[in-house]
Amino acid sequence: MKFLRLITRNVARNKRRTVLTVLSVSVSVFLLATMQAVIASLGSISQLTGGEYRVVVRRNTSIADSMPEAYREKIEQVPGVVAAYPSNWFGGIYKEDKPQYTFAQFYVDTKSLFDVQFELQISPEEKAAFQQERTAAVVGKKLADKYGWKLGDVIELKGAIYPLDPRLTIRGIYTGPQESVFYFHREYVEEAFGRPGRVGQYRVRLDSPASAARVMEEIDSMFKNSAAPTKTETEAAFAAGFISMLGNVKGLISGIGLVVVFTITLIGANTMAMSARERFTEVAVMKALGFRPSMILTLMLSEAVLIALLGGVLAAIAAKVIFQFVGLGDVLALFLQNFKISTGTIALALGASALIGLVSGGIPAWNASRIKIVDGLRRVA
Amino acid sequence: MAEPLINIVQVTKHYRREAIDIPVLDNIDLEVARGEFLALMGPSGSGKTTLLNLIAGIDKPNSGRVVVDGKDITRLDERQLAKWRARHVGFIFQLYNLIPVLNAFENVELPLLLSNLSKKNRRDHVMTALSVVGLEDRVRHYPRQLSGGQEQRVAIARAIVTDPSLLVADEPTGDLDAKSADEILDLLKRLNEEFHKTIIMVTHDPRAARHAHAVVHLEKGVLSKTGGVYEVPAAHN
Repeated sequence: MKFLRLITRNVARNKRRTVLTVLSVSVSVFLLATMQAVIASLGSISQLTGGEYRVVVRRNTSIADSMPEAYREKIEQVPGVVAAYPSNWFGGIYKEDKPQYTFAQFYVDTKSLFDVQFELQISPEEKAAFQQERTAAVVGKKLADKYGWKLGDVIELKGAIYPLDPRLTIRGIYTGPQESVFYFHREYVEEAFGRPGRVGQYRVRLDSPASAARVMEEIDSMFKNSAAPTKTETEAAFAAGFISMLGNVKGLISGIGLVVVFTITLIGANTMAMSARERFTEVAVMKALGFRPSMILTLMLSEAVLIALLGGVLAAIAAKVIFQFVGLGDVLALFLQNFKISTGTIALALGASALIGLVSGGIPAWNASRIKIVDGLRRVA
Repeated sequence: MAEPLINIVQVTKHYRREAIDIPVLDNIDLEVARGEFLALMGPSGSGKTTLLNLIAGIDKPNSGRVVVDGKDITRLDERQLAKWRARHVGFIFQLYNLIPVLNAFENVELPLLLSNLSKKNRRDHVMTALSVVGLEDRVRHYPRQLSGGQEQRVAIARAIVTDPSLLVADEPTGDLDAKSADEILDLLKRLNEEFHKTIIMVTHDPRAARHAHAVVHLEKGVLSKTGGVYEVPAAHN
């Protein structure tokens, strides 16, 4: 502790340089924290509670292709299947075609929705109101909070995929691990289009996670020689597949993060080397006074780590404020509904900044600690 | 002669620069008595500072022994030497070499950070040292806020704060005006006489050398009179 003042004074020695270094570290660590949060969010999609009790049936060609409505009855007859419901992506525009107004909308069979998505909690009254009225909708609490929706509000969607602009009344607000989806009646859309009877996916509830492999195989075998063969996956695999359409996003993000950190480490090393060179004589004097090389090394490394940690703390605060309180995370809301700066992400940001400090300060500090006293003093004279 | 604090025995030092050996000190023998105030004089490149560095334990000879207070410091490794310097040697440089980001108090405290003294004890030592050099009213001033003479006095306070037996001063008045130089020399003399510090001072300036008890001349790495025989100024006889 008695050396703390010496360390902080040296950190503040060249304020402009320190501020610029702190800012450059903070920008890079902010990017790293954001990328880490994106990766965590992508991972969390496949870990939603209840997912192990469900499989998803889709066309084997693409999730954009559809299946006949008649598949449902056959699927429900497979041993191990408790219930199933058809679901289609609507993809309508709410207010404006902007990211902040984008959210997931599915038209579904309302009778089985809550049997299959059993982790969603809704009051019996709201559930009944939703099921009885064809223009009704239910929304997750997080989504309702985001747009300030309440029961009885009428939501107008403009069809972007389908030529239909539904006017829907919110009759229920559910809670659960996934609160960002908007559900409304399949019947509403089917009737509007003359009952084409096409289904984007079937969500299937199992009696046990252990049944998943057998059920998936049986369903796909059943439709193997039909006009619309299926691909059945666990919900986690389905989500992962959905994400994988974006390519190797995680790898790309991790790669960018590492390059940013590496670059800033080199810049930091240059700054620290500059600082060490300027203090060549001072270090020699300190060594003459009795400071051992290991102490010089520790002091200079501490300075580098302190500067980098200041950047890390700044980055963590910025990320927390920007993504949590200001809500710029909404831009990523469609695919990253669980996007947040977690404690783990903050720990990673601080750890990365400490590492940047250690690596960037390592060689300059080592060189300073090896300075020969007579050489350092001679430079003055 | 009083008991010698420093005994230099057949010390040789040469530097190697671009494959060429440059002799600096050639077979030097010197004894410095405890409580002595010795001036080292000689032209530039004569080896004064090198000899001072050897005595202070910040450089090592190629051969010979440097014994200070009974300890052969040429046998100490870097770690042991650092510890020995912290305890036994106070340094005074021509350009003061204060740490610019630390104020006068903190600069003087710097060597004490290596000790196990409590904060209060460190404070007492620092204030005592600053009062000896007459700067107890400048404790919060940074080097840039002090005159050259005041900076050198802070440097002297830093040199004496650990109560070392030996003070080495390399051109301590070389960067000062005449008045400040006299003040610094008077202060060194006082440290020698009142506090019994053994002082070895390198200087070009005959006026500065007159403050010393004895003067040794170095010429091309050789003492003009060897074996601890000094040319003592008349004023001290």
